[in-house]
Amino acid sequence: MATRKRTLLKVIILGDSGVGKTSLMNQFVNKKFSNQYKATIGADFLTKEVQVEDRLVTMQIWDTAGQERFQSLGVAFYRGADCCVLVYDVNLLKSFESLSNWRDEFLVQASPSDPENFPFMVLGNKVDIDGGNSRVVSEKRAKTWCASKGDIPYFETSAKDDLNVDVAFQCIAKNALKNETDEEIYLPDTIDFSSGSTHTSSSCSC
Amino acid sequence: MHELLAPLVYVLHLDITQLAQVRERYEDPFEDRFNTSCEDNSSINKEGRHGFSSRPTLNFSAENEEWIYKVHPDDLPLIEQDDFGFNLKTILLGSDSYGAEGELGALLSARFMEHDAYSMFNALMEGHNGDIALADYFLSANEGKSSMSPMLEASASLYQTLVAIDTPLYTHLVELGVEPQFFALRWFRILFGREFDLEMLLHLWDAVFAAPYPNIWKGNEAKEPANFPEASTRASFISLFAVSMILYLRSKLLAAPNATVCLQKLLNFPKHVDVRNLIENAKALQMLLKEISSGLRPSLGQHTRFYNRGRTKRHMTRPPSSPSLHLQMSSPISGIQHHSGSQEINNHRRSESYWEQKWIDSVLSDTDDPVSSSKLVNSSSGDKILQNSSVLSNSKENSRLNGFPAQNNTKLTPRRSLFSAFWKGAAQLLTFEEKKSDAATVSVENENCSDCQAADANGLFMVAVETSTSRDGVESLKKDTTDEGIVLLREGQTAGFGIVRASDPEVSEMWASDDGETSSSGDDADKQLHNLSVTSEQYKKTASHPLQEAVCTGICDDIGDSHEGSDHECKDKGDGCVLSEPNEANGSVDDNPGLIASNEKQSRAVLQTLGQSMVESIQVIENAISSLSMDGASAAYRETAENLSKALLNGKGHLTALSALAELRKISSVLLQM
Repeated sequence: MATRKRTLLKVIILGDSGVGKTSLMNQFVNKKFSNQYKATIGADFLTKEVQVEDRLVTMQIWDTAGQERFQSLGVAFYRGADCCVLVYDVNLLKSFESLSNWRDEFLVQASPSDPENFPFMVLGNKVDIDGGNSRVVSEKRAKTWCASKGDIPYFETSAKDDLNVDVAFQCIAKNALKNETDEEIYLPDTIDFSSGSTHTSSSCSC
Repeated sequence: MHELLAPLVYVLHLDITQLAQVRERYEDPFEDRFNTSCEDNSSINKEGRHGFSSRPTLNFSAENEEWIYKVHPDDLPLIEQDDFGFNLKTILLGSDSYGAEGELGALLSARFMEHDAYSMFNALMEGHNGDIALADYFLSANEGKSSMSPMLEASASLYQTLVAIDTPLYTHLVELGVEPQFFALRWFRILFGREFDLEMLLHLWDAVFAAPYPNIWKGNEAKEPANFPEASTRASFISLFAVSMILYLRSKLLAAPNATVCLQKLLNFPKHVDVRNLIENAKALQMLLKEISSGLRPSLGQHTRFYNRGRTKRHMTRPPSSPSLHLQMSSPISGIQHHSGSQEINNHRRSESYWEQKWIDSVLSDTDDPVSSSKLVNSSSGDKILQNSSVLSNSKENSRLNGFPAQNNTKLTPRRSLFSAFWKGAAQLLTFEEKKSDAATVSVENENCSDCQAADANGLFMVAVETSTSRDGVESLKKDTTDEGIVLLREGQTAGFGIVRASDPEVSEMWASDDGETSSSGDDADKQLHNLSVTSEQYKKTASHPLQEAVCTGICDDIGDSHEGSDHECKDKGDGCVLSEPNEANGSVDDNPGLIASNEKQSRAVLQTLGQSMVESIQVIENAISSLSMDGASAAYRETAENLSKALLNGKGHLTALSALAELRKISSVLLQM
C-alpha cells in the first residue's frame, strides 16, 4: 500500500516582502516570470507533481506574504509543513538579516517535533540583478549563516532567469521526503494540519 | 493596499470627470449669478472655475433644483444614470458649496480628489462608530485586544455563519482541514479586491457600505468605544457575503476530496461571477440569521467578543446539529422573496399539517402498492411518520434535538420560506401553490412517464427521486421539519421526477458504508437518511468518502431536525448505516403555501428549476467520480469504507453509476428545455 500512497509535501516559503517568493514559486510551477509586483495577501499556493527518485510526490507550495504576521494564518497553517524555504534578496542586506527571525518564528509556530533537524532551505534570490554587481550579501556569508543553523542547504537563484529554481525545489522535495517516517501506514490524501510533522532525518545532501 | 485605494480613486475620478462634462454642457446652473452678495465667504470660490455659486444658502437648493427642471427638462434624461446611480441633480447638489452639504463646501471637486481619496481610505481602514475597521485585519494578536487576532476572529465568525447556514458544507471543510483564514484573509483584508474585477467589486462595495449600522448602537455611540467589528451589520454582511461566495462553490467544494482542491477553488474564485446575485443571496441570508438571532433559537456560539457584550443578541451561530438551510447559490436565482409575517406563519402551520397529512395518506397508500410496499415503509415507520406528521411534529423534534422548548414551532417556517426563496424558482415556487402542486405533479408524471412518487406535502411539489438506497433497499424518508419535502426512496422502482435508478446492487452497495464509525454518530446517520430528501441540496457528512459525500449532495432537503422518524430506517441495518444514494439527484421543490397562483408557466419554471438543480447535483457526482477514478487508490486508505472502495474499484459499479448519470443528464436537459 505504501507504494500507492500519494504523498503530499507541504512546503512553506517565507521571507521579507519583495524578495521574490511568489516569483520563485511561479517560475518553478508555471515557468513564468513577471516583472510586475503584486503583493501576496495572506497566503496562496500552487501545487506541482515532482518525481523524486522513484516516487511521484505532489508539492503543495505555500507562498506567504512577506508582510504577513504568523498569527494571521493560525498555527495550523505551519504545523503541517514538511519543509520551510527561507528566501532573501542578495541585493538587500536587511532581507538576509531577517532570515533568523523568519526561521525562529517558523519554529515557534510550527513547533516541529525535532526543530534541530527540521528541513529548511535558504534561497538567495535575484542574483541576476545588475550582473551581480549590486549584491551585498556574499555567497560565503550566506553559507556561513546556513552552516551555523545546522547545515541548511543553500542555493542562489534567479526567478527571472530561471536559475537554479528547479534544482532548488527538487532538493526541497527530496529533503522533505527524507523526513517522512515510516509511520504513515495510511495517509489520507488530505492535508493533515493537526498532526505535527515528525521529521527525523538530516538536511539535504544535494 | 492599492486594491482598496484604487477603486476609491477610480470612483472619484469618474465622478469628477462626469461633473466636468456636465458642467461643460450645462453651464447655466453652475453660473454664479449671485456672486456679488457674499464673495467673502468663499475664498475657494474665488478660484473661478471651481467656485460654483455664492448665492444665499436659503434660496439655493430649491432654486437650483428648479433650474434643473426648468432649464433642462428635456435634457435631463440624456444624462443617463451612470453605474453608480448619480444623475445630474446629484452631481449639481454635490458639487455646490452651498448645496446639500452647505457649509462643508463642495462635495465633489477635482481639487480635493487626493484628499477625498485619502479620507475614504482612512475611513475604510479605521472604521468608525462601530463600523468595520479593515486595519484591524492587519493586527496580530498581540496588538489586538483579544487573544485571537482580529483576522482570526473574523475568520472564525465566518465559519460560524457558515455553520448556521450550511452545516454539511461546514463539516466537510472542517474535516478536510480547510481553515477559513487561508482564504478569508485575502477576501477580508482588501474587501474582496482581488476576487472580482472592478465593476463587480464596486457593486459589492456599494452593498457593503449600504449595510446599516446596528440599531443597538444608535444613541450609544457616545458611550461605547468605537470598534466592534463583529457587532456591525456591515461586518456581518461581509461575513455573509463570504458565505455566499463559499456557497457559490458549494458543489465543487463538496466534491473535493481534500483540502488542496478546496483551497484551490476558494483561492481562485471565478472572477466573472455576477456579484449581484451573491449580494442578493447574502442579504437573504441576513434575514435568515436575523431570525435565528432574534431569540427564536438561542445561539450557542462562542464568539466571545460578541457574546460577552450581552447587549446584542445578534449572534448567528447554531449548533452543528441544527437543521441547515441549503441554498443553491449558483443557480440563476431570479427573485427572492421573504416571508416572515406572523400571519403567514400561521397559514403555514395550518397548511403544513394539512399537507403533511396528505402526504402521509399518499405514503400509506403507496405501501399497498405491490412494488414498493415491502420496504417503502418499515413496520414502525408508518407510525413514526404519522407521529411526525402531527401538527406538533416540528416542535417536538426540534425540542428534542436542540433541547429547546417547543416554542420554535414557528421558527422554521420563515426560515423555510426564505429557503425556498432561494430556489431560484423562488418567486414561482412561492406562488406555485397547493392547487398547483397537484397539477404539477401530474404534469411531471406525464412528462417522465415514470411512476412518479410525487407527493405534495404542504403544497409542495415534491419529487422524489431515487436510486439505490441500501441493501435493504428501501427507505422512505420523511421530512418533517420542512414538512414539505418528502423523499421516497424506493427500491426497485424508479421514482420521481426523472430519476434514474442505479439498479445494480453493487452500485447501491457502493454507497453503503460499513458502519456508524464513519459517521460521527448514530444520530447523524439517521439524520442523514432523512436528509436525503428533497428540496435542496444536501450534503451528507457521514462517510468520509468523497464520492459518498458528493453523492449525498444531491438535492435534498435538509431536515436535520427529524431524527425521530428516521430511527427505523437505520435500524435494520445491523452493521451499518446505509447511506442513501443520491446517484440520482432529484429535486423536489418546496413551495410555500400562502400564495396563490397557478399557471403553466409556473410549473414550467419549477420544472426548470428542478432541472437546473439536477444538473448541478450531477456535476457534483461527476466531479467526485472523476476524482475518484483519477486516484482510485485513495479509496484504499480509507479504513472505514472498505466496501465502498471495493465497489468503486469495481468497474461495473462505476459504469453503472456513469450511465445512470448520463440518464440523469438527459432528464435534466429535458427539464431545462421545457
